[in-house]
Amino acid sequence: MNAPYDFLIIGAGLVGCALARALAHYNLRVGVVEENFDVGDGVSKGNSSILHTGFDAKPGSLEARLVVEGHLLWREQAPELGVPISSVGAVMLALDEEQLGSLDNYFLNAHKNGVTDVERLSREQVLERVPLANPAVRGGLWVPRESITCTFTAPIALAEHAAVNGAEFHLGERVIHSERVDDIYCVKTTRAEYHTRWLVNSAGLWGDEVAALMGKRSFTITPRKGEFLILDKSARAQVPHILLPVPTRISKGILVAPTMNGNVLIGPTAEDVTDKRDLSVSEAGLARVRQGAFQLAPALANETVVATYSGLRPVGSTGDYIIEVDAECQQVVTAGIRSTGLSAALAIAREVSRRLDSVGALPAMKQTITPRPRRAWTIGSTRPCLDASYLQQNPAFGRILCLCETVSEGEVVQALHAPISVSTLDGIKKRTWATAGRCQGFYCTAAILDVMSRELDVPLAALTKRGPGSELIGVPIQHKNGNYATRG
Amino acid sequence: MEITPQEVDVLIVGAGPAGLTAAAHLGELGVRRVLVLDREPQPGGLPAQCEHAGFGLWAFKRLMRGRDFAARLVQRAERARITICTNTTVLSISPDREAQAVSPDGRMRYRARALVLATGCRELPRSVFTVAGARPAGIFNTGVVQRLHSQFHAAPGHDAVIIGSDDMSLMAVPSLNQLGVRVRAVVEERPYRLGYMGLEWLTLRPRRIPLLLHHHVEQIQGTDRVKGIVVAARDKDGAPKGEPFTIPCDTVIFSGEFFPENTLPKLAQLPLDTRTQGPLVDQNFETEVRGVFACGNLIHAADAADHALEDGEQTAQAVFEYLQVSSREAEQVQTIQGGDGVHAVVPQRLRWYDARRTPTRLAVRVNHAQWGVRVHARTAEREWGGGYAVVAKPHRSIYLKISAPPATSEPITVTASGRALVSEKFRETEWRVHPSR
Repeated sequence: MNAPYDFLIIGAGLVGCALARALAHYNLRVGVVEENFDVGDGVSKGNSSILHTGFDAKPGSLEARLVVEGHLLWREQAPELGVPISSVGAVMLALDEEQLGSLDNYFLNAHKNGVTDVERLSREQVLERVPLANPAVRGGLWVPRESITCTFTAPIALAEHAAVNGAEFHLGERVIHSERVDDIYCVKTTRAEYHTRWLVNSAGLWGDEVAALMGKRSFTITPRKGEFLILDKSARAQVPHILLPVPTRISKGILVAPTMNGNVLIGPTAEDVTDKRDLSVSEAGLARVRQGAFQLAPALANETVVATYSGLRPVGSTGDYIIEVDAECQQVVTAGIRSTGLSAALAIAREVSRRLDSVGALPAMKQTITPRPRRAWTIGSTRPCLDASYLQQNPAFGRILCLCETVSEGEVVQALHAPISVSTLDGIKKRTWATAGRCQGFYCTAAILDVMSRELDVPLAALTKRGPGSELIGVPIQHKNGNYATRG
Repeated sequence: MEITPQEVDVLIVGAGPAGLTAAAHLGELGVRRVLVLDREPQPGGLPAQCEHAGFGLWAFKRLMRGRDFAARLVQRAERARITICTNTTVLSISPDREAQAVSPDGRMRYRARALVLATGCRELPRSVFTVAGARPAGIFNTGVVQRLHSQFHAAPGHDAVIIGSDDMSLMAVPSLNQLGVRVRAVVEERPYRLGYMGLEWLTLRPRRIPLLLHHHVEQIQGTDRVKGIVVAARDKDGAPKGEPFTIPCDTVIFSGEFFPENTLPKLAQLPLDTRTQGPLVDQNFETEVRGVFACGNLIHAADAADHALEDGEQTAQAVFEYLQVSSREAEQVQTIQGGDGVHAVVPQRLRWYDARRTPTRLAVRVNHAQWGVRVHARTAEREWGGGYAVVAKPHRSIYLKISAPPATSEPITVTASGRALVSEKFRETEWRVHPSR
């Protein structure tokens, strides 16, 4: 039996990765188990990538405090983590008299949450800032620090930083059983068995079920689906800021936001569902997204759609974040972390560390912290093919595989051999943005599979989109003549 | 770091049928410094990825496989001593005919006296049609399937459903069969087949593959890998008819809806035709910027490779003339516009430099499927050319000639009239369903 972990985190989403990174700063053995075959592949991958200031959160709630804190922490730590942030600012648009009235409430709400730089805008000021806004707009609220980031990059960066500082990631393993014997948890997964002193539940959508496995089930998690559309890059120039609707009692509404990669995102819907694995989009949902977005900015109706996706937010039964540190049972729970979790992740990790420290569970900090290794490219920066120093270092940076996003072979190879090793096509997409452009893989899929097959030394037929069961091609057929370079 | 630009006479972006032919013809005309850049490891463009026959009938008067067709074009270019740089991706072009490119050998910059864009087209992915369902593995374009076939002899799956009934979609059936893939059905949203009837008889009928015309894809099933698709019939006005049903399959191939590869002209801010999404060109394939030419499926996605080849031939001639006298100004500019029944016309302009008038070939797209189609090109007073097509469908051009274009600057209007294949009401929804058009 291996020496037990000090902390075993269940779930490598944003919160799990942020926790792993925070704990890896101490002299601790940290392990992470994740059901998916990549980090940040559950709840974390399907949101609007907005870094909220927390101006509209419910004052006094744990969520409001952590989002506000988390926003500041991201601004401080993002550069060293290699996570891009672009402070585009947000405009909340009031389209009628009633909405104009509720802008005042949001103005006061922002001040209550300590976001004091919000401004009221007149109709003219709104149209000056956002010329494509609906001409029927009556007024607006300007939130200058509301920002965008990349929800793919964030968990990967946190996980890699944790991994280079000693945290061990076990991907593609689902926890099926846990029991506590003599203050040590024995956790069985679909592949192995781990021992740990502390057990951390950051299982996102499955938080309630993992809590049951851990012996305490005090809350339930409801998946709430949000459908999104990504518009072509040609729309980006017209959308300088995030456009927010005035929320209704039912939902926060459908927003329009630029993305870090130069596209425009519209969505989400909000629909409570029962199936925690149902990431499908529907014609009706996408139609609602379009309708909502075009109400804010009618001109977007002519833009081409590049991609559609949906995400599930884990809505906790308490209506707020659930964060518990139980010193007696040596358990930590973080649950009900909805889409604002991207903004709050670092604050949640700090909050948990503080509470652990107060119960004496944390030893001394490590003397030296290894920084996250740099990539040739992070989203929002210049591609290495445009940089002579990279090209000299490795000609593979000059072999473009994906034209829409100008991704070179060098970047794909780097992603394949990163600290968190990735072996899926979606993993490559999340790290390099290959196949995520206009053509959605028409040109590059075959070339990328070829590189993956060569670098990972596996047959083509074994390559998957996001783990076993999602094989990308069928069983290869024996070639009929010798002309083909066959592999697999 | 600034790279010193390499000076060339003609820089051609794209080594497909249009680009290679233009290059070869320029070489044959005696232009020496012609350079062709292509991002693929092999020249030949999309036909080079096609294992199936169906090429060369017009151009070479015989039926050839795509790769043989491509090989023949490459051969001609090589015989004309044209330099083809493969593995070279053009990152940007500028209106002053400079191009930035990158290859494993490093960064390159070119300054050309004439720039020819022949970047071709690609298929529209599933997302454009906003089909319901998750994002499982097993959703492809025909292009990806062809590439997997030609490069690795790998099959996309076991049981496939093809969405789209273009010639390319129908021709994919035998290649898929060769790989051991069973085609369960071909689904077409429109009430009519896009491809040739003969191909349906050759590819679908002998294999008893159903062609589901006027069926809408309601949903793609499966979360990890495709498990099936749900389709439902439509009535003649495009409204749902009958119960949706499921076709079990592990592969869905979105096929035959083309879109020009217009990223480079967009970056250079060349004016685009809002209908074709390709650059605006005149009868010499010259764009709105002097010395920048565009031809092939970039300006009419996607006609048969033979037409791209013909474009290349004519572009070369025009470029050759441009290189002789590049400073002249057009005496007269005429626009060509689509009238009743016409969706788009290429070229969109006629530019005349002297009193000489040459016959001009027009590629005309109808805006709904018709049969017994008469096409007319006329100004207010008189008709300047016309043609007849037995059947015309919106996805392929009808070609007609204006023999003696008028010596006025009045716009020429092209109209098409025939018996409609689809109901009035469906026509309204057709453009929504297929947003490329």
